[in-house]
Amino acid sequence: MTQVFQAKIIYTMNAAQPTATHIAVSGGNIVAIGGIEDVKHLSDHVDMSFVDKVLLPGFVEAHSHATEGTFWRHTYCGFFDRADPDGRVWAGLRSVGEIIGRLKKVAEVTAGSLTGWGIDPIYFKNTRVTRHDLDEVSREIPVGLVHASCHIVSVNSKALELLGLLRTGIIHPGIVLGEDGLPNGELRGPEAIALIGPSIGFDSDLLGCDADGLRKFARLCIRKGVTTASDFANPLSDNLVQTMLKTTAEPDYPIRLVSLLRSQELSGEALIQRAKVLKALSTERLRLGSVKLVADGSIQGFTARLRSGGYFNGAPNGLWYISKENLLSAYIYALKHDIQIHTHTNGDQATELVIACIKEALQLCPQDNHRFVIQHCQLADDDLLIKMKQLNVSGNFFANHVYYWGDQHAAYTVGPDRAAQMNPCASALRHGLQIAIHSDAPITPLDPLFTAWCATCRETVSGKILGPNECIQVSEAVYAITMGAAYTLGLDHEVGSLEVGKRADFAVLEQDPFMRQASFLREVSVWGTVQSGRVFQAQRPT
Amino acid sequence: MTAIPNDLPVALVGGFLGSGKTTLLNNLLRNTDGIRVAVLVNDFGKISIDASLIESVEENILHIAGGCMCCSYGNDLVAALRKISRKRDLFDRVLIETSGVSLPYAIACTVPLIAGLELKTTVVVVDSYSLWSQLDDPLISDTVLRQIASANLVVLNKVDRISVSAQEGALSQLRKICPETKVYATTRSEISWQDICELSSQPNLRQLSSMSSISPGSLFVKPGFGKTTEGHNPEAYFDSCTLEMPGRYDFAALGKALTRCGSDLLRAKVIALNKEGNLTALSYSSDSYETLDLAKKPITAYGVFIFRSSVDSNRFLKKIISSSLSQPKPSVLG
Repeated sequence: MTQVFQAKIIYTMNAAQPTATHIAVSGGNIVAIGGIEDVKHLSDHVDMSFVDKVLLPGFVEAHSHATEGTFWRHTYCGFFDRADPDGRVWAGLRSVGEIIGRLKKVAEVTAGSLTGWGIDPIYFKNTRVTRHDLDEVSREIPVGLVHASCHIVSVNSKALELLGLLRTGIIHPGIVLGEDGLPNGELRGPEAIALIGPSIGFDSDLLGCDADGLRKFARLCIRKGVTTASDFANPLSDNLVQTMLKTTAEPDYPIRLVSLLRSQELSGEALIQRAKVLKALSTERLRLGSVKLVADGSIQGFTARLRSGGYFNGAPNGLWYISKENLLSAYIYALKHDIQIHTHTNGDQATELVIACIKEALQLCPQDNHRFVIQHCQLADDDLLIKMKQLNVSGNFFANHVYYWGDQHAAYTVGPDRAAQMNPCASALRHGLQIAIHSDAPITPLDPLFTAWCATCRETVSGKILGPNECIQVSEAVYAITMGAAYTLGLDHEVGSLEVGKRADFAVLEQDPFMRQASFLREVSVWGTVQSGRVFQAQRPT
Repeated sequence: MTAIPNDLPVALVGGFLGSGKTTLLNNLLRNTDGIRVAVLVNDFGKISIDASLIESVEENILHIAGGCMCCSYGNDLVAALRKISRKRDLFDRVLIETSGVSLPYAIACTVPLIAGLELKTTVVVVDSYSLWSQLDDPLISDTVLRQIASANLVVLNKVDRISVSAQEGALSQLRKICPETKVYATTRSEISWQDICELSSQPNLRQLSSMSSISPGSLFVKPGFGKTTEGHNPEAYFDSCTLEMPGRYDFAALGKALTRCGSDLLRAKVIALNKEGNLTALSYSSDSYETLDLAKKPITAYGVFIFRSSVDSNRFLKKIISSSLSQPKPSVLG
């Protein structure tokens, strides 16, 4: 059966036919698009439910983590208002006192352990949250507070006691000591967090995602117009894959999930072989078979690898999380077996190494359509961007970082000059790169229109414009959250634009993002989505 | 914390990729003298434990002759350590091999926080042949420096590949990085349990704080011997390939074929049937090979080859295999 929808206006992101008013859908695919004359032969009935709505291609979140769904099982404690999967807005908390207050209320009805997430002390003058603060929440059960970066966790005394860590004499770079010589409850970096994680219900399994978490994540996607979302670091064990296959196959599962293999136990050929096995399991709604590698750490954690210039505050250079030999061998096997690899870099030195390895791999195994993507790629000057273009490597920039941490980057991490060039979308487009932009949810909230706003306005939390020369046009930003993102995930032949033969994936908007200035992008409200022809209205908060 | 007597002693083995960490582990595992060792490695990417030592395999655990075992910890070292600690009656010692780019310091700090484990020492293996090019490379010099600075024992390995004056130069550079650390010069990581056990039980936890004062640029005056007589580039990349090897092989011919590969082949390990149909292991490295008869065990016949990545691996392996297969499969053409 063919369904015809009429909308106020349809922006197709197809340059050959930029706008339309009518779109016909059959079997989940677009079969005709244009005016009424172009579709009326397909159906007598025109569905008028979107007649006052604006349709865009369903947004593609180019870098997120499905685990955001499981985070909502814990208590949100962030500075900014944030909507949960059901649309209920959790008010931002503006002081440590407010955080303690919210956790206290939850503790009254909680047994076992209690975890809050999303706090970022930089928004209240870097006040540290210590075990003494969290002891006010509870002395009986272990309490943890995961920071927004996920690189720092604060815990109460009980959590430390349970692991025998509430004692003097501890020497560990990730365990902060108080004046009394005892740990003050703040744990920094993956090694320290791994010690405490399991006792507060925040362990490495969280990266995988259970059925409930996957459903919650998908509900967040509907609210933000997302019809295809990436899941950027999943161990993809056999059990997890079974759960994911089953959940995404539920008839009303509303998104296409692209889940990437991240393994720290496999390398080289074994890693690529595992990806091949996974690729064969792919379904319409669960896409497997791509691999994520991580080259360095994060800039705000001072673990990213920077070139000369280093950290603005004098911190020593960051850490390598993979050797160039392992990078190169993964790239070579990926090219031989037609597996796509995404590589995380934050610092420019890491990007430089990745580019060098891709170049060498391509010399050994020449290939045109390899779709290597550098993820985050936050510091990339013209030199690196030109090299990326030469090798046909695309960049997926962390536009949201400019808003959430831009002020800190200017003040502490890389200084005002390099901060103004972070996530250089305009330069990348000038050099002809394919680009995407992303939220890295749950690190920042999943919301492609907001991400597009960040890339067009580059406004920071304090209201400064960070690097106005790197602002891009609204049309370029919307392209980046549709076709650009689809390209980086290797799905541009299926989604990302509205044209005949592609999937009928729409973002259904209440307002027209193109009719006003760029600053309006973040104000546009989303009615819901259509995914493969199935209509999903965002749930109104109760 | 004072360690209670039954805490399990732990040694870390660190060092940059290709320095000889795995060779060191194998040397120790071959000469355990009845010590039951639990070995934790970051990953099994390349089959790294001598195949002849392996008794059986289950998921991420290799069971090794003499009550030893080897398991991969991937992204959760803490969980692996807690598991070992719970089973500490089964073992006398723990060895942790850190990944080639990681800093042993962070792990050295973590181990003492796991109840039941006591960190004894950090051994860092240095490839003396590549040391200069590593310290000269802005991408990795600080990592190599930080690794060396965290050692209780530095194993200056592969000294047979450099001249005596170059050895002295390397030693004096090590003195600048870690003046009080013991240094052993070896050719193939020949380190014994005694070497490790006699080290002070005071783990090296102090150096990271002073690391910020060490900067690669200011510390080193590169001496003239950087390039040795061997012409090839020590930074060349290597590729590895694992093959199933059904059929019977002439191991003498196989050994010869491997030796003929010269510097294209870095290392090879084969477990397969010999001409007589007995399971045989062959281990090749540095232009020489040894074979070992294995008791018959239900194990897949395979070969692992590590070769220069510039080599055409298909042709390369075909040549080796075809020259040593004693019962060639009937070819389509023949």
